[in-house]
Amino acid sequence: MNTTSLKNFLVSFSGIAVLLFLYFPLVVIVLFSFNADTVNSFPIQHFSLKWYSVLFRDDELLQSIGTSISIALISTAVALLIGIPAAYAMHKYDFKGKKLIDKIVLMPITLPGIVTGVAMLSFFPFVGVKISLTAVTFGHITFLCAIVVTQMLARFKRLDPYLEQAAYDLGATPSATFFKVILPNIKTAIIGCVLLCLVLSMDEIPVTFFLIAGNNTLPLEIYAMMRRGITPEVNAISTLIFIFSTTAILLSMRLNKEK
Amino acid sequence: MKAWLRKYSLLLPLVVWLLVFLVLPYCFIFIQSFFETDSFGKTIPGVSIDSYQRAFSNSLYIGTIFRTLIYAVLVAFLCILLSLPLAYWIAFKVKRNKTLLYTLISLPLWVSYIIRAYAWKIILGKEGLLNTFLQWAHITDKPVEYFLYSTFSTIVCLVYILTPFVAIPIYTAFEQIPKSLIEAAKDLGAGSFTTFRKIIFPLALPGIISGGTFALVLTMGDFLSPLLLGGPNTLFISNIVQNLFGTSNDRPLGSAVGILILLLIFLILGIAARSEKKLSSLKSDSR
Amino acid sequence: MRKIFSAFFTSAMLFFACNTGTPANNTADTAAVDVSKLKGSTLNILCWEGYAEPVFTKAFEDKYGVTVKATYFGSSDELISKLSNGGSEAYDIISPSTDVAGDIVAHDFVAPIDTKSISQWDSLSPQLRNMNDVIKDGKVYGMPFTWGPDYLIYDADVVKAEPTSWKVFEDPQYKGQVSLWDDISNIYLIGQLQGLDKTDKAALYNMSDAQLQSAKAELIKMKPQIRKYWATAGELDNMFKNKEVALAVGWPLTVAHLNKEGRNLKAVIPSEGATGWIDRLMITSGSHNKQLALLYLDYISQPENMAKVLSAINYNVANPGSERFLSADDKKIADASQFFDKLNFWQTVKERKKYNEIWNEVKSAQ
Repeated sequence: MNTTSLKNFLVSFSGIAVLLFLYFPLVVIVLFSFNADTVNSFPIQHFSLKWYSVLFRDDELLQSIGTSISIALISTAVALLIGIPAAYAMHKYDFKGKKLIDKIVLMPITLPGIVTGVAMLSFFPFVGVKISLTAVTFGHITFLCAIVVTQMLARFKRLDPYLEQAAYDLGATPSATFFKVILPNIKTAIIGCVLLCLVLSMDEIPVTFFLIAGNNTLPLEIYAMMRRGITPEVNAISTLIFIFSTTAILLSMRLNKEK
Repeated sequence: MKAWLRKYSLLLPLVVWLLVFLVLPYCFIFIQSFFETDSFGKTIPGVSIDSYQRAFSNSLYIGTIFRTLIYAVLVAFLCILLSLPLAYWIAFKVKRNKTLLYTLISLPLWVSYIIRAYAWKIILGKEGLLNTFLQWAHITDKPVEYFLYSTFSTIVCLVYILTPFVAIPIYTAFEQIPKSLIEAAKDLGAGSFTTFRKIIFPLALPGIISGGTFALVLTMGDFLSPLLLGGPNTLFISNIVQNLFGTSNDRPLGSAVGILILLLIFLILGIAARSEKKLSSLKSDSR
Repeated sequence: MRKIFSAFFTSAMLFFACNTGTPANNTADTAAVDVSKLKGSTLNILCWEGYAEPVFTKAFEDKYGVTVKATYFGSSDELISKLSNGGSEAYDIISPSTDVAGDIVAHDFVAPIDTKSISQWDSLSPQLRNMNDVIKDGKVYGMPFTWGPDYLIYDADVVKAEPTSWKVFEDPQYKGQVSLWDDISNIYLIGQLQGLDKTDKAALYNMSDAQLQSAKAELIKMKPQIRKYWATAGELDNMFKNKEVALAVGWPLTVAHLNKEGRNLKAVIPSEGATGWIDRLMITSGSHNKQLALLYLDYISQPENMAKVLSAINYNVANPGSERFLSADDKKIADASQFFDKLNFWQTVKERKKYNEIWNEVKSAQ
């Protein structure tokens, strides 16, 4: 082997090694979800599907899935209603404070979730939002706004500017232009954004951690299960979540790429 | 409807929402950091710098902030170290299926954080995968306890979780380097390492910095990895904030520490933004 | 799938219910309750682990057609924080221990209990029933539930000889195999190890600055021995299960849980003694389900149900009448009530903030 091909080999090898590092733990979880034993030791002695059936009989876990789905749906819907018009305005108009809004909207993503969490925990009761699933939903809407605004703003920027102009020239009102011309064009981007929001909301922990009381969301239920030591079931639910979020994200990526 | 009215009515819901549920909460913890508490932990409004004094005089707070910063720098550095070969390989060596590989880097980002942290418990435990393997291969004769419930496992987990965040901007930066530039270097007789050192690395530096900053900031704010994987010596500053709000019930002090974390993060973000700007202006000058 | 959907709808309903409900009248009483109205409601219990096992809650759920939903706290401080953060409205019943019970009553987080509605009230152990820390203005705020020790638990397969002193935690042989609770109670433990409570039991809860510093130094010295500080009993169970630890401070339920799975865990009270706790059930002042909560208190204090609690988690229970429902093995546990006088039960710590800070300093020491 000459030095060039050795170098090439080393580069490819280390690249592939890192990629494997990224996937190895996920493979481990999937593998262990079929482990019949309650202890996570290796090698696996017996394979079984029993933890999947245990999972579907665990009422608390099922309820937490329901809770997470309802929070994700409600907060995604509200974030879209608030975020899309604002993104459109930010794309279309110039105004004072635009940069500031741009920065503020990103705060829940750029600043540590724990500070956002304790800030909301401290302040929400003052505006009548008690620590509860309602508070969690409000928290989720806030950070999903960041996702919706950035994603939609990016999509609006790729929009053909002549499209809108043509609509106006043909005498369409601004609202008709938005609903008849722009909306159909960004449809796929919205669907992609919805999937993204759902996955993020279903997975959120730092803010939820502080705002929740009583009913758990799915990740917090998993966290509680991990701490209570109910681990084999955690492997099974993790595998299902893995499949779900991978599908949703791949779909979202596809949709975002489409014209 | 007038244009300005339309503009503001479109913006208003977002602005009001962010104000009430984001900006005011942040302002409030700033105010709360000057409050006092009774012995039971009930907050008493007031203007006292007691919390800041405690935060600065006790190494439990200020020391842990800096220790966490060191961990964060280490995590960021390791993430960059792992991301460079990965991004390099996909950007320059892979010819087909580039998009697929790119998707493969970003995909783990969307898989539940808690699950990815949890996987390391299985891998690093006393009877876990790694220890079983090491004993099977006769590399060690006893399980290595330090693997799990230690600062080591916490750092491994954070590096694992954050590497995609770092690899993506680095890959993007690599892709933006004109291929002609690299060809030219090669034609002038530069070896591939020299090309990397003199051309690719400097041009990708803004991407490397932004990825690293991301990992750094996220580590500063993480409290779950230490909680799940940390040992008796693992205490990150976010654990202290969580403890002050969730256990010790000292909200003013918790707020003060939170504000200090924010200030530090603003400082880091500021430095990163400046150096990125500087580097990209240098880059355009050199072209 | 259907379950997920029904859960989805109930949680959506809950979601709105949270906001519209107003606290019911302040004194709970079961007289003239239309029980059928309670059907479908959820009783939220904020408690120590093990206090809402289906083994003993299921019959209550079935009887009234309700759901018992438990949230666990891992330390007394966590309970206080949860209550201060609005938890007194989110939960109906709480299970504070003796170290914070008095403060919780004083801060109006809980409502008085109409003891006449609890049919077994007079059968409950008078010693526990008459503790005055939860009696204010002649009203009773807590119903005795369980009590027990903070045991020294060891894996008898690893630790062959029964430990006689807490000092075994410092034995180099068990380096990295010890787990302490992530809680200020470790400070009491050191106090006990240093013999502070020989003459005055309260000394552990009123340590001077110098004593606290000495406890801190001792705990830091112990750190190389520690595998992990456990935050919840389940976490400790899990560590014993995976053979991560061999020695720990813990509660009877860990031994009960693991030995049921065929492990060989044992619990002892070392020569220095042990601290203990007495847990009362209380109804929160903000509860929306005070009547249901009172019904639960009445239900759980019945001797046969208390017996179920004992057999599930091996904690001593407050109703001595439960004894006739116990199996021979469980009776042995109940017999352990002779050690009631040997335990130093947790008391209010006036300098709780300082104790917490000391404990955090121990954790942050490198």
